[in-house]
Amino acid sequence: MEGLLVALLLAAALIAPLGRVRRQRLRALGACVAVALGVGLPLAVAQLPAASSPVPVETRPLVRPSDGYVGSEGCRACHPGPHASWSASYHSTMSQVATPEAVHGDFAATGLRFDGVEYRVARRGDTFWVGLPTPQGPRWEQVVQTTGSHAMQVYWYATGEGRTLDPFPLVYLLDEGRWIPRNAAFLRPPALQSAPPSESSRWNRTCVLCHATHPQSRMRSFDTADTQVAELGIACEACHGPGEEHARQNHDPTRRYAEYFSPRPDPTIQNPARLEAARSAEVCGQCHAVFYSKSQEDYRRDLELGPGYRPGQVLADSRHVVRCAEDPEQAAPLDRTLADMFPGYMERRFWSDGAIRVGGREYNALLESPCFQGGELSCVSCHELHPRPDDPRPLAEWADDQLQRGGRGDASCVACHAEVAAQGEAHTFHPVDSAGSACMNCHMPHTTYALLKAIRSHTVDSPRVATELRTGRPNACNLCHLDRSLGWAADALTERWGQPRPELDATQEEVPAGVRWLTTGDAGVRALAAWSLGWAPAQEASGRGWIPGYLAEALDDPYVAVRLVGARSLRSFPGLSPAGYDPLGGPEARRAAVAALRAAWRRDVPAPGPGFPHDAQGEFTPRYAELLELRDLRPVDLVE
Amino acid sequence: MTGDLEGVHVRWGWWLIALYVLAGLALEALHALKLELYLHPAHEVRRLLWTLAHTHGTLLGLLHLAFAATLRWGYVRPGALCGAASWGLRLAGLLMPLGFVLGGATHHGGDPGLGVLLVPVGGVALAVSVTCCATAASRSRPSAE
Repeated sequence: MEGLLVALLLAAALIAPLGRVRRQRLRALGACVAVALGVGLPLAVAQLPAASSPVPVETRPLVRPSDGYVGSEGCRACHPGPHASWSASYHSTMSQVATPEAVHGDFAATGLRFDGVEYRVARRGDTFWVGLPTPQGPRWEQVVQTTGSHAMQVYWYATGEGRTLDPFPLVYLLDEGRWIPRNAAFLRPPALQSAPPSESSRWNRTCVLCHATHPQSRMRSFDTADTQVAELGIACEACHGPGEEHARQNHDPTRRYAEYFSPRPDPTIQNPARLEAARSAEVCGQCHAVFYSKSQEDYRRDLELGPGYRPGQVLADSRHVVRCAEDPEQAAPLDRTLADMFPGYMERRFWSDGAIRVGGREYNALLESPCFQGGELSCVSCHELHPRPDDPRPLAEWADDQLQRGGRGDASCVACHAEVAAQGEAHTFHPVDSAGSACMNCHMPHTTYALLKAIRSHTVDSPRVATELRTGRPNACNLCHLDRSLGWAADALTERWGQPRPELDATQEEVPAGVRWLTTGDAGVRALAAWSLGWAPAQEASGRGWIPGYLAEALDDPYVAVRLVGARSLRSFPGLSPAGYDPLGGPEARRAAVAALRAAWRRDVPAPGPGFPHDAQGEFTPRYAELLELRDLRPVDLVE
Repeated sequence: MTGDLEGVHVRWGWWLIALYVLAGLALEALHALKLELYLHPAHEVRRLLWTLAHTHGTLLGLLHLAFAATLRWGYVRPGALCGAASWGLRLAGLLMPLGFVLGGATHHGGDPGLGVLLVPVGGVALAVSVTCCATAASRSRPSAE
């Protein structure tokens, strides 16, 4: 419209002299008007409102900033750099309206049949549809929202009950580029994978709390909600607090410049990087933690009005961060209540010594770290939510783990422990600059699990064989030295660090830890072992030749998640992946794949090292079957 | 008298054009080399202000040449208005592009650095200059030559 208005004004301005112009001038004027309209009309058309959103707005959560929140667009004008890096982060795309830009799944896929049930997906123009199985054929529902954009993507459709969303039972794995049942993407017992419990209104009751900014569930009944959020995804104000007052006050340029040159932080907004360590970590901990409402009243209020915590406040004032005490008598009352009310609550989230077992809850891990308890460690000691402008890394590389530049190295640890770093090999007993000398490989080993992979523990501790014996958590030494036994690790820690040598059974003394975990461990330990067998530093330390024959065991694990992790690790052995192997395939096909992989392995099998239960031809000794008999079969259901 | 002033503005004009055309070339080089100090989203304000410096410097150079031509054609004759127009134009030619350069060099997020304060001063000088020039041109008639 603006363009058309300009064109008309131009024409009107030229009408006045018309009376005095000659014919040729009139023609020139006509040409001018034609040019003006030629330019103006397309501009006017281009600025017409876009066709209404193809995703209906009435039945999905309402996006409306309120209660002092303004939305990230309100931040962009003054903070273009941080806004750009946030836009490139997976936080920004955690929850999105299902537009073609947001949807990564293959909606042209066919043959999505799992456990005898066929699912359908389709794309119609710019809309995406899922076909839910019913006896009468597929019931088509439009996808209105997505969750996730890094590892996997979940699709939600509106139930029509208020603004309630239900999940499509399949998720799309972005790495593999394939659909799998949602419950297979998580480490859940096989029974729950094929018959998952109902998840009606799950997004409104649970997911929204951390996957949107200023979420208000507004549940009207168990499966009806009138959910409203300030913004989908984890946006600026999730970490900086509501920005309305900040924006209002900073419309005044003199105030802005006074703030630029002031050493104190702007009191109208929070900057987690300038908060003291504990307060700063709580900003991340508002989501990256296992937490529980302190009372029923708090729970109801949080669902109605949104969580009461605001960045900069004390997190414990508004919610209870769950901790798992090794001695139940030492547990906080609410933690004891949770453990009593919900059997398995702690085991599904924690190792028995209180270290967190599932990824995404790193604040719990931090709480148990001496560097946090007695030092200044916080999330921003290693991570940065906005890379510096002079950071040469592409934003996509930074976004993968949002680490500071050089954060994968020792810089963050050395900042406080320079004297330890100066000892070099005398401290690490590994060549300087080798993976064995990297601080994190010993003090933050990959012992948490989420998203079909092992993730570094964020509880900073030191390797101890006694801890593994007590908790079952794999020790850092053997997570690299997979070909060595727990007894070997015990010897090394006793000799080098003077740790008392615990008593071990024959399996622990002799069998390489990688083999022992993969055969005797519970499903969570098997997943960690399967991941470690594909980890380059572990392969370098342990040798590669023996791995495929044992990794084959993971390909036929009862847990789909373990099979998926095993298949990913097998990618590091090009040419050995059995043709047509599908982690979600039937048991016969899986067993055939295992046999094919082991046959290929036997053609070039290395001589077995000490404790390996196979002979020089790659045939397993009876010891291998004995190890499988020792498997920990307790169901594992990790709540990521 | 006007001959001297014509010379001054011809020199100012061409030097401004030379300087800020070269600056434009430098900006193109920053694009070509994909330098983060210019192209990073955090430096959006710098990109805007340095582009403004380039355009204002070049256009003000042209304005100096136009003023020299106006003097030569006799539309503006020596006097108080002519002097004010000349000094205003020189101030504007100096301060406006320089303010944009400095404002972009040390910016604060979405706000320019304090150097940008030179711009409104130069802008006032330019407004005074063109007003004086217009008034002087309205009062005088060029001599028939």
